[in-house]
Amino acid sequence: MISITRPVHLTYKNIVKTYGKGNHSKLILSDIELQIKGGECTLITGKNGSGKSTLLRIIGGLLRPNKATIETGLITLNWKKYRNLIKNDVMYLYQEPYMFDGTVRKNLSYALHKDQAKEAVDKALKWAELEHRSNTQAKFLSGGERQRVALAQAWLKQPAVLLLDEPTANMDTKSRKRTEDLLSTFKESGTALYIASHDPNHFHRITNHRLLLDEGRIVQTDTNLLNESAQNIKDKSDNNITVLSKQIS
Amino acid sequence: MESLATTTFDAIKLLLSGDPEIWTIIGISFQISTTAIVIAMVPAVLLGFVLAYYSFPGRRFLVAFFNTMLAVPAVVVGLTLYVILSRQGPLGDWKLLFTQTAMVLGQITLSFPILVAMSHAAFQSTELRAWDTAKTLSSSIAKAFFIIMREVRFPLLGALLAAYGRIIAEVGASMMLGGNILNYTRNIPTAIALETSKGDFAQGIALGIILVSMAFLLTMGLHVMQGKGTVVHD
Repeated sequence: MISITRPVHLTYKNIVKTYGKGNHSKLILSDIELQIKGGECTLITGKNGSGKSTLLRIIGGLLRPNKATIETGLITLNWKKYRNLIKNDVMYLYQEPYMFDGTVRKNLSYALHKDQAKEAVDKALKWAELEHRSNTQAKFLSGGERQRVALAQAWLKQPAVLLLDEPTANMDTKSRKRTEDLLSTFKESGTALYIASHDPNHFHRITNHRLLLDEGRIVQTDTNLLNESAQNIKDKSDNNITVLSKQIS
Repeated sequence: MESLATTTFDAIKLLLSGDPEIWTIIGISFQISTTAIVIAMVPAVLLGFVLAYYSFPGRRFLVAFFNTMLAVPAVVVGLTLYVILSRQGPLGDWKLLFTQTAMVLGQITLSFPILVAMSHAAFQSTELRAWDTAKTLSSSIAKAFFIIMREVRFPLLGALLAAYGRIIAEVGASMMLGGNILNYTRNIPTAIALETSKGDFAQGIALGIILVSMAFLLTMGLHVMQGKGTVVHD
């Protein structure tokens, strides 16, 4: 089985995606360039309909782009090879994760590798602070708990890249902080995080890079946000957040 | 009414007496229908799955074709296969006409479209997120398929019951392809038709009781498996 070399380093160039055909086609993404590096977190922000989810779905191999050049190291991959390469290493989590019929424990067991012991599910429950919910029907969980189940599944899978579409939408501050804490453990273990969020203020504790999408194009890139001094981060972050907030609104 | 009550009482007595002829007919019926459903089940469910989750040229045509096949009368299926299997037909050399194999073929032809159409509807009823999530969580397409199968297990069981109910009760194809030969191809519906034409209503009703009881037991079984049968939870 082919798999991504870790820490992951993938480069995407000239991603183009349209929906529809002929005169009715609509350009969703145009000329997108980005990189994914293990242990780094990138926040994709932009208003609704700017193409954030579409971009994540393309990176996750769930949606085929009209055009894209994808490279890992010195190798250029076609779409089929790319999908084969990432199928066990890139995980995409929906804004509202889908819970299958059955208990939380059953849902977590779906993420087990065949050589993984069943006790791993107990560890994942503990990691996500869901032990008290282990025998609850997963479909009856709250949005925040569903997100933690999905993160626990990711924790079991240990993907090289974790893609999250609005993971803290509609969450209160406490749940959002808890989710951020869980995500930071992925970063520490070398997983690359790509998060789509309409709010540029979210995830500032873990975000290395921030991309602003507008009508399918990257119109602003902030890099190395966590490597600068605390004052610089605060100034730059506050300044950029103000600019981004204005652009988004 | 009195006549119906008396005949029903006679039918129950006949069943309880362990009459070998009647129980042979019941055995043949279940054997043929179960064989047909087991053979048709796997390819039909796989086809329903492919039609729901994959896009390819001709997909819409296939969906429309199998939905149309639901309305084809059993006697037309029987007639078509009769022509194919008769001595002058393209498969006449196989000498299958008036055998249990011919009846199984007829029942596969009848149950296949039901299984495809209903399993397609079952898979289609799940959200795209379900399939994407199953693929994301699984190391192989086969594992993702079984996760989705489990998700739609009740509609799939419903499809199996509907298909089984259709073939075990159909008379047209079985009569034409099996020939209603005692202790060989005579099944419940062909026996009911024959006994009724002879005026022996007791045996017809006895066999009818078996069919209705079987339908009730299968439906109850599905209901028990589904749980409380309500969308409200405590």
